[in-house]
Amino acid sequence: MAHFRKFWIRFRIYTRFSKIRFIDRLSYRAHFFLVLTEYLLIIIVNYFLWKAILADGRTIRGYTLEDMVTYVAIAGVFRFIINELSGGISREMSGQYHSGELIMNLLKPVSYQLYIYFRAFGGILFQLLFRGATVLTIWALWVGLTPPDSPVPFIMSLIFGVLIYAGIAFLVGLTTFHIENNAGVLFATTASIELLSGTLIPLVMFPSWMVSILDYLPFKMIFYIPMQIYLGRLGVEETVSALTVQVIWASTLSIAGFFLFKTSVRKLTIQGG
Amino acid sequence: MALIEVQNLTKSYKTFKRKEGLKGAFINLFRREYEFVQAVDNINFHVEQGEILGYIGPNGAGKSTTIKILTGILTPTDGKVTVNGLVPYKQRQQHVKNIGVVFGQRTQLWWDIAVIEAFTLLRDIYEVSKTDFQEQLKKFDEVLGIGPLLHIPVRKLSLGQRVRCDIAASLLHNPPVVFLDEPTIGLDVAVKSNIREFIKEMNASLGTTMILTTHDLSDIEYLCQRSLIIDQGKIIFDGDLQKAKDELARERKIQVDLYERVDIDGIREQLKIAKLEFTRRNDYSLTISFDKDEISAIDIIQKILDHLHPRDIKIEEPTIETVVKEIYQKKSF
Repeated sequence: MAHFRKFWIRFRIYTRFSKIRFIDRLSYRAHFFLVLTEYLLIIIVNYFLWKAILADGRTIRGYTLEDMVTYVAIAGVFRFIINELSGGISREMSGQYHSGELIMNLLKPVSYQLYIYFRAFGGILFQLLFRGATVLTIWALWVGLTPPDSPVPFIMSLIFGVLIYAGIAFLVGLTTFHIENNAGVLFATTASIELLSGTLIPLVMFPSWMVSILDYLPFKMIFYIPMQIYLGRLGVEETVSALTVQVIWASTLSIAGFFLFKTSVRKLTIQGG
Repeated sequence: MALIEVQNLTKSYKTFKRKEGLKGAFINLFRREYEFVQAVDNINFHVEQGEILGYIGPNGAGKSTTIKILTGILTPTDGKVTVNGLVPYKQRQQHVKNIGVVFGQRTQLWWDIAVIEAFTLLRDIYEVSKTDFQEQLKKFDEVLGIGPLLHIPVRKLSLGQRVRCDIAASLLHNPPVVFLDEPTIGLDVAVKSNIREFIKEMNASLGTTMILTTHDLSDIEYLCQRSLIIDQGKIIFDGDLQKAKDELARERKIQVDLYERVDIDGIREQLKIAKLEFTRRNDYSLTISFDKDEISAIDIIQKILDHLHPRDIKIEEPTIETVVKEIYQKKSF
């Protein structure tokens, strides 16, 4: 009981970091609308593309136009999350390394990894509550949206997907400790995540050799698997095993991040100042 | 065992040597030459509980590197460090709970929130009770005048305001060990003296152990009974600077202003004291230099009053700056 209380107090502290990021995100109005418009446009372009491809009731690998209408909208909203995690974790870490804010955070009795994670979670909450909700409402009223087949497993799977990418983004952020300028690594991972997680097109539409390689990688667990659950394409057993694999990936990546952060900090060389 | 123990501490960096120019930049892409920089070179010292230790040295001497190792940010290449029984770089989270750190040149506060929010966040992180927190805030407001700053976002504070808030933030949890790295840099005289008073008061009432790094030697003079001087990674002085001043800087100067024109040879005749050095300042003023251990100033002044007709007499003490400069130049003591 005492342990739980202590855990709860620590948890509350970390949620304060989420709140700070959430409020910070709220304060840029012009940026809010610009990004919203940009992402909405991408969804609309994708929609018209699929409308042309899947005209007259055609299907590709079992996807109908109705499926794709929902797919592009959810994927569009998920790209807000990917963006938030790339920016709020990888780029943030790189920025803190160069500005010296990292030092300040190392001087506080908090876990740097959890501090970074929770900040990003605050940003995600903002993205979903404001941008995500706006996009989905517009989409539902204008084009139409199929609700998730089984909401609870979908939300669980979505959270695990976010945690998997958070783990990857943290590892990418750590590269800045070793190669100073990691802008290239950052750009490359964000681009490949969008492709390999299935936010551009459903992964089944890739060549089969690629699909079998992707089975061994964590990327499809980020978005493609949650989306399969949304669309009701996984049975109960498959869903359970998918969620288990997700949990394994999420913890493996975060634990790797934990140890690599320790060794990276040990190598830290900050001269002068 | 002393509160802070530093044994054979060494930190070396590997930095890559950049070749200049376009050609050099191209070569750098393929072949890199590295060189090792010895920032801290086998230093030893310890600090007892309740001590305020001055830590000085020229730019790039290794001061900040030492502080960063003691605060747990950097891991030493070699040697042993314990603060309060903990090894800073191994038990970082536990260690930083017991320390307060002020870096005058960079903020400890989270940029994107108001000062009071940062404070309450720190209160929760360090598990300070609400009543203690209120008391601390009141105290900080009295000494540092931070009351009116509490609702301003950290990023909008001026340098002086920010440093004051930083000091408050890092002492909020009454840490037993405090590291002050140039805490008064860029501050005006009034704020500076407030901060000094505050540091002294905190040390006296709570027995807080402190290490103070600064280029402003008057801070050291006012606060520290003991100082370390580090240069090129090595400690070249460990002791009381006041005493060092007495021992090292033996030359005193007396400035004498006269009603009549200065005639050095005539004056030398009149005073009849050996080993005095006379320098003419202008037509009506001269400086007499002497070694305080050989001749007493009183004797000289007595003679001046007897034989000359002075308008004014001034005795110049050596400053702590000259002492430190002398130590830097001698390189070892």
